[in-house]
Order: sequence, then structure tokens, then C-alpha cells
Amino acid sequence: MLHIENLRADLNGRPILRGVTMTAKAREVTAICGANGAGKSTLLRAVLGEIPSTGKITLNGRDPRGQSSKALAQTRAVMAQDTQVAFGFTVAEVVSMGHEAGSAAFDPEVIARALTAVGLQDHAARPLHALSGGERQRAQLARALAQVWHPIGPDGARWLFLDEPVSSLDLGHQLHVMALVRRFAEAGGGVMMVMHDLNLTASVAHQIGFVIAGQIAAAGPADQVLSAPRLSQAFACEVTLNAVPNSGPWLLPQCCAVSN
Amino acid sequence: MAELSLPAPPASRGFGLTPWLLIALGLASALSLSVGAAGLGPLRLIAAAQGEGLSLPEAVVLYDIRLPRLAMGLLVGAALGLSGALLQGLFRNPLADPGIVGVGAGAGLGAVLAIVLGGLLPPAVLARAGGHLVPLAACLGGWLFTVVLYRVASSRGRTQVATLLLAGIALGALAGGMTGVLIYLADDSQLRDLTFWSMGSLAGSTWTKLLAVLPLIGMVLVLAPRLGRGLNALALGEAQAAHMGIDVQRLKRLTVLATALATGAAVAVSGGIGFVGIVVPHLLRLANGPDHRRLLPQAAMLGAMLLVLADLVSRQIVAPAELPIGIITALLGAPVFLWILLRQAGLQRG
Repeated sequence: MLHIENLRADLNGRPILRGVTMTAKAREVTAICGANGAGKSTLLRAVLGEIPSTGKITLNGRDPRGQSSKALAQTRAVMAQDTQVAFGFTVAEVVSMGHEAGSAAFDPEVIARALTAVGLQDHAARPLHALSGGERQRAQLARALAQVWHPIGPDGARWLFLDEPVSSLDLGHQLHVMALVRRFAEAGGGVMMVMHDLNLTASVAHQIGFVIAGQIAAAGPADQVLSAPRLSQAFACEVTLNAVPNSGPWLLPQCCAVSN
Repeated sequence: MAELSLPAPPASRGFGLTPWLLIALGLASALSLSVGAAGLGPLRLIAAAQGEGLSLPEAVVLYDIRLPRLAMGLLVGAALGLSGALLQGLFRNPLADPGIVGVGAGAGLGAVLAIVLGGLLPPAVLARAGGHLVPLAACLGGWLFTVVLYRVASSRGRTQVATLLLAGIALGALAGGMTGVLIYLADDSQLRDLTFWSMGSLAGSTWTKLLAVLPLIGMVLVLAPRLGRGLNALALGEAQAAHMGIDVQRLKRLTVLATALATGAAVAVSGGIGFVGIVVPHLLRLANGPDHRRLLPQAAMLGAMLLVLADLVSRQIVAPAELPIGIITALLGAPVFLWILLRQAGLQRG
């Protein structure tokens, strides 16, 4: 379980997160949504220890801020928004780095299966920088998956932290990646991801933490969190909400106020 | 999602090049030992190895001239190759060569400081440091300049190539200016030392000089291969490397230290021999991929081989005179540097 209580973080002297409290469970996909600049990525970075923060964070019962990076690497894998890889490392080499970070024993089959899972099995020997943006994003996901390949480790659930994992992907690959994420959670792992596409998020996430101005305005299942007034307030948009049978809420933006 | 079908695991690029490099290194060494102004050729050496014995002049040529020079070439070449690979790993950029980005100039400044102002140290310290004073001062200068360079050229684990190269120019100019002041202050005997030192040659190699730098370069040869996995992860950026279990601050400190030791030791005994640190890792990445666990040991081997061969050419090409070895490495290395620069510019333009 990931538990955050009264988390505060500043960036360049400006308070970004102000008393964030929420809980993400293993076996569930938790999404963080909100407008640009609301503090989604800052929340993720604070939880990951990339920026200093005050307040309580526990991951599987322990504060990650006091743990060595080596120990943490066996519990959680991180996929950042845009990872540039220097030199000509191949896709397979980058995925191998993830696998080696997460486990003591090297199993080449994990690399092959992680590549197959994201549909890059035919690109293993290509240099990462020669791939398209979407392929690179899937390669980074394969690297993160290979790091926490077995969703349950000796210290409990393993975790995937993903910052906008589908931002460069086409519709088919978005759905494919969401299915992978969901399957990881169903197998016992925990997932926390920052997302922009609310419809896609609503169809996948068990829980959405909705961030407005550095605070969790609401947390819970999509049909409770995504309300028309809240979305209108957060995005300064008129939004029509509908429901799709067996899926959840579905929303359509109507028009946005554009100031001259 | 459909059931996953398993493809064969991707072929890993193994250590396949290493045995070939070692063989080539052995051949280059044998060639270097058996060629020279004195008529001590390969046949004579083979005969001597079979127990025929050498005459006294021949023994002097072999043991006091050619062997220390070969050993120095191997050590300095290994140090130069490694320092390039390490600095490039640290800056995540194949253009970061200690000679080009000012680290070599910093080491040179340290060496000149020790030569000119070393006499001001308390005699007890001076006696204790002995032949180690200049190499240690060069390492210190190299370390200081690497730290400054890193602060200037790298923010949040990202390096802008332009900033890196411009900072290198500025640091080089700074070191050059300060060196100029020191040369102005130097007396006649110090000037003679400086002139010999700055010629960038292995010609004055002696066992004493070799022993002065052996511990420094030895430390790097032991330390560097342990940095391989960390430098691989660092290629994905500092934050990502930390999430992959690397203690990034420790990795950076050790890499800076190893680079400074290797550059300082090489500069202290051989002056400025440029471009080995850029050519060697680049060729290895082309042949064998960028994995630092292979690249670092192989950069030491190829650097050693390249320098021994360059030294051989420098001794033979205008015999009985000698061409400074730095001229040969520059003629070889500068085009490679331009080539990498063009390729990077091409990649940035898309």
C-alpha cells in the first residue's frame, strides 16, 4: 500500500503541494488527474523522492525517503515522461538495465517477454534513438516492467510509477498499454500513474486522485470523482457527462472560454 | 491480450573483442620493443630470449630505454583511453574528451604549478613527495577543473553540448593564462623542466617516472570497471539512474576522481597528448556497442595499443629525429572529433 498524508512540497520557493492525503492500494490502478500546473507530476516526483517534501509517505509500510536507491529499485520502477538515452544503447540493452536493477538473477527470458508485451520484439537490436516517439515510450515501459517483472516481491507488492505513459501513443497502443497496466495490478502489483485522457483513465483506473491547485480535491472511483461541476472548475470548460454501460463515465467537452 | 509468444532472447553483444585487443596489444608491444635507432632487431631479441644473452649496450637499450618507454606508453595510453570513456559517461556525451573540455589543461596547470612553485613547499614535504609531487598536483588540477566543468555544463543531469565545449574553451584559456604567468615567474632550470614536460613525448621515460604514476593509474584501472553498470544507467539521466538503484552522487564523485587521476597522471608524465580519449571510445562503441562494462576495460586496452603504435610512428617517421607524439594523435583524432560533431548536429536537425 502507498499511503500519503499531509504531503507538502515546494518548487523554486513556491508551494506546489499543500497537504496532500491519499492512499493507493496494491492490486489496483490509481490515476492522478488534473489540469496543467495543478501539481500532478510534482506529486509523483515527491512520492518518488526526486524533490524534497514534508509529511508522511509510506510504501509497503516504510518511508521510501529513508531507503537506499538499491533497495527501492527492487520494489518499484519508474517511467518518466521523456527519457533521453545517451549513446547508441539498443532497445534490448535498455530493457536489460531495468531487469538487472530489479533482480539479482538475470533472466534473458524476462527481456524477451517484456519486449513482446509492448510489441517491440522485432526491434530488440535497434538503437533506442532510432525509434519513433511512441516506440521509445513503449521501450521505456518495457524497461520499467522488466524491473518489477514479478508483481509480488519478498517485501510485498511491487509498484509501477508512470508519468503520462500513453502521451505519445496511438489509440490501439494506448489501449494495449492500459491493458498491460491493469494486468500488472490484477497479478498483485500496485500502479500509480499521471494521466491526461480522462475517458481512457475512467475505463482503466480503480481510483482517481483529482488534483486541483496542489490538493487532492477528490479521490475514489471514476464515477464519483469525475463530476461535471468539478471538471468545469478544474479545466475552465463546459463538460457533458454520460455513462457507458459496463465502463463508467464518459465525458465530452463542450466549449472552452478563450480570452483574447 | 493474446497469449505471449516468446521470441529468442536478443543476442547480447559479448566480450568478444577483448581477446583480439589483447593479442593486438601484445603484437604492438613486441613491435615497439624490436624497432629503434640501435640495431637491436626482432631476430636479435628472439635469440636473446632463447638464452643467447645480450651485449651490455644492447641490454642498456632494451632495459633502460625501450622497456620503460613501452611500459609508459601502455600506462599513459590506458589512462587516456579510460579518462575519455569515463568523462563521456559522466557527461552522457561522446564529445567530452579531457583534452578538449579543459580537464587536461587543468591537470597541466597543476603540473606547472608544482614545477615552478613546488620549491616553496617545506623541505620535509618536498622530500616526502619526491617524484610524486608533479603527478599529484596534476591530478588535483584535473579534479578541480572537472568539478568546475560539471557545475557549469550540467544541470539536473543534462548536458548541453554547446555549454560543455564553450566551458571547456573558457577553462582552457584560464589554465593557459595562469600557466603563462607561472612560466614568466620560472627560473632557468624550471624553464628547462617545463619545456621538456610540455613537448608531450614518451622519450624521457624512466623507471623512476613510471613508478611515480603507476599507483595513480593502477588505482583507476582497478576502480573504473566497477563504474560500468552505473554509467550505463546514467545514460538514461540522473533521476532514472537513481530509480534503477544507482547511488548517483557516489557514482559521480568516483567518476570525477577516476577521470582526474587518469588525466593527471598521463599529463604529468607525457605533457598534452590529445584526442586518444575521443578516438578510442568512439571506435569501440562503433564495433561493440556502448555498454560501459565492456567499454571501460577495452578503452584501456585500445588506448594503450594506440599510444604504443603512435609512439612507434613518432620514433620512425623522421628518424633519427622524433616527431612529438601529440602531433600524430591529433592528426588521427581531430577528424574523428569533427565527424562525431557533424553526426550529432545532424541528429539534432533530425
